[in-house]
Amino acid sequence: MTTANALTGPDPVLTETVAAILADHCAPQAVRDAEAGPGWAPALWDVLAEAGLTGVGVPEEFGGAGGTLADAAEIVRLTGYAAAPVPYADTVLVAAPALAAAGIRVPGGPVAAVPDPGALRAVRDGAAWTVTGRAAHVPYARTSAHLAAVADGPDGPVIVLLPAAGLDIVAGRDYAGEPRDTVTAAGVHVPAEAAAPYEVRGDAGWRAHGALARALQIAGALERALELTVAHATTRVQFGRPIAGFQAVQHLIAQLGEDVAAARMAAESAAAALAAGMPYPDVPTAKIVAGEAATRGSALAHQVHGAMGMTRECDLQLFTRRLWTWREEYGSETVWSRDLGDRVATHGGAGVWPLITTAI
Amino acid sequence: MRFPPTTLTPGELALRADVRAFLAAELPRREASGVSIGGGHDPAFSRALAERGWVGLSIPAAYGGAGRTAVERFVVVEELLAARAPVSAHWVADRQTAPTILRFGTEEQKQRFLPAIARGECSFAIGMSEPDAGSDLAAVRSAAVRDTAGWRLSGTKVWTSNAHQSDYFCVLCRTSPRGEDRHQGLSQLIVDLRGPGVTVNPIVTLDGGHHFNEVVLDEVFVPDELVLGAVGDGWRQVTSELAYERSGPDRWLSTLGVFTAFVDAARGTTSDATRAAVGHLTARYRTLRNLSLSVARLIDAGGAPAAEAALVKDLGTTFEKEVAETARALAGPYPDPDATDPLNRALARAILSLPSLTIRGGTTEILRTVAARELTK
Repeated sequence: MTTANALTGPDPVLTETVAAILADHCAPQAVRDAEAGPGWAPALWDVLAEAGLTGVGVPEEFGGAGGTLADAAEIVRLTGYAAAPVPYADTVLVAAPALAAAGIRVPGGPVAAVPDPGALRAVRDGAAWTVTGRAAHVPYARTSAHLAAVADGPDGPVIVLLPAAGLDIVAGRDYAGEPRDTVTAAGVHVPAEAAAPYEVRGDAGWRAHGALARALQIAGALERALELTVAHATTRVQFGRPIAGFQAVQHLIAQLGEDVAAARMAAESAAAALAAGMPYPDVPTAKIVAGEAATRGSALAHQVHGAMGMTRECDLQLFTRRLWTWREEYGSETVWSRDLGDRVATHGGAGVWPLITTAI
Repeated sequence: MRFPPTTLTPGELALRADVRAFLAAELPRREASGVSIGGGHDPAFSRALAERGWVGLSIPAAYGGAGRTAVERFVVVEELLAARAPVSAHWVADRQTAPTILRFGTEEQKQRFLPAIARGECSFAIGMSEPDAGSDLAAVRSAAVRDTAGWRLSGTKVWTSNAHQSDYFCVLCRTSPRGEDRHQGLSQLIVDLRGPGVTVNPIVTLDGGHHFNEVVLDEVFVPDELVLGAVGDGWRQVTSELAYERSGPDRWLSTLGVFTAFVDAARGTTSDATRAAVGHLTARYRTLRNLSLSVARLIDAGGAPAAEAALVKDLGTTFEKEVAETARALAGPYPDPDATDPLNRALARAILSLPSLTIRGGTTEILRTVAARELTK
């Protein structure tokens, strides 16, 4: 960020450092190996942890490494760019901030986040809690030592930190072959220090953090899809010239560039807005715009790649399969559009302009 | 391409508050209609804005302007357009002629035109397109030949918005014969639209409106002091002018009136499709506005974001059409151009002008080619 009056963004040195780490340790082959093997890349997680990146955005007294939400958001975007098969976004942007805000110490290692609040129920057991219920499509449940969830409690939502060892976990997967598991808790005992009432902080709740995380991952992955598409179009020769020389192809690339620009602007603005404590309307906007961009952008990237893009051999699918997953998680663009539309319509047309021009 | 997210500073927010207060007091007394170049023509309103320093915002104080930034101009302009203020009397001079004169003009031209523009007393039109030169601007055939202390200019310009109510226009023409490089030998001449040899003929658009004109130039004398910038430098000047023309709020706000009427009509709706449309379009507006603002910030940082501006214009103008078509599909209007209810009235006006949004100021096809060239570099 060199522009005057730019929103407070991440430290450019951080971006460079993380991009270099991911380039070294998360090349496309590493992503393929994770899918063919354990479903994730534990060695990559260790590298990120050793670099002090897995606790970014969480205060040190709660087990974090300090740093700002803007820093965490930038790293999440970069993990999307690398298709990193680790639950970095879920741990750092969803689970850890909610645990720390509730005064629960964040354990080391990946913490899987149960996407749907209320999928589990918590009842009091003296000062401790007992958790039961079933949650589907939990990212990285079977590869994480801990899970965090917002459970329904007797007096409102309760955030709980669950050791994976006490849960029944059935493996599942998403379009990209990443773990999306079904988790059953049959009366799991949770000690007092691992549970707390979940204070819903206006619009800055669990779902908003998850939506921001996925929007940032989409912005990163879509940028990579654009780079792959440009590389393909400028080297693939048909009719005696690179296909990037054809206007019809150029226009597909331009539209993909538009989707990348929109997704990144929306996601980065939402990160800044959430950091400033005013997630509305930017977090809903981010998930809507990123979801739409993922849809149109992945189609455009594939159209330019032609048949080659349909193969496992081509790197593009490492990113588009994730885009197709991420656009659905923590609320699709349709779900968020209805929510946002409800709220906008309540205030009528006169409320539109002040909302569009809200200063973060 | 990179669009750094940005927000408004306290000073910029204060300016916005001033503009909003002024418009709230002033607009109810005037007829608000249309947006930007096709909006209402009200020289008295333009002068009232100028008195507050809001015309020619980026003109330095030494030339009678406010010496403000591109972002400050953005702030004023987006408020004017959102409120459908009648801005067309100063629109072109403020948006592109003043910055072009400031950048390329002689000292004498700056002294002569910039203070008058900043007072809202000197209006300009654009003299680029010709019958055989639209997207292919370098094909212009209007030509000037040397005369004593000046030039004799002949040719025909078309799509000249508001030529019939403007003082001058900047004519892109040949000042030397076309050679190997067709971008060479072009110049910009400032022509008095009411001078001898100039004939302005109306071109009526399909909605019955008269904004466009054909301007016929028959051996019009243009003195040397009205050659804008350097003789032969016209192509470079015109292409830099296009960057000012492309990235602003006028490229995504044309159908805001349709949207606000649609939202009013959607109050209390139980239709999932309508709720989703309102949310989707709000999110797009918010993001487009942030992209457009980011380009203004890039200009202030000394950048020349021509490809970025092309990309934002394509996104913005295709979106403007989507807004109207979405409202139409869900609201089911009756096709009555004289409708009295706000949504049907706004839709009628929009539908009859919709095709122009992705043509004026650079077609979708040209813009995508410009953006792709940058992306595949």
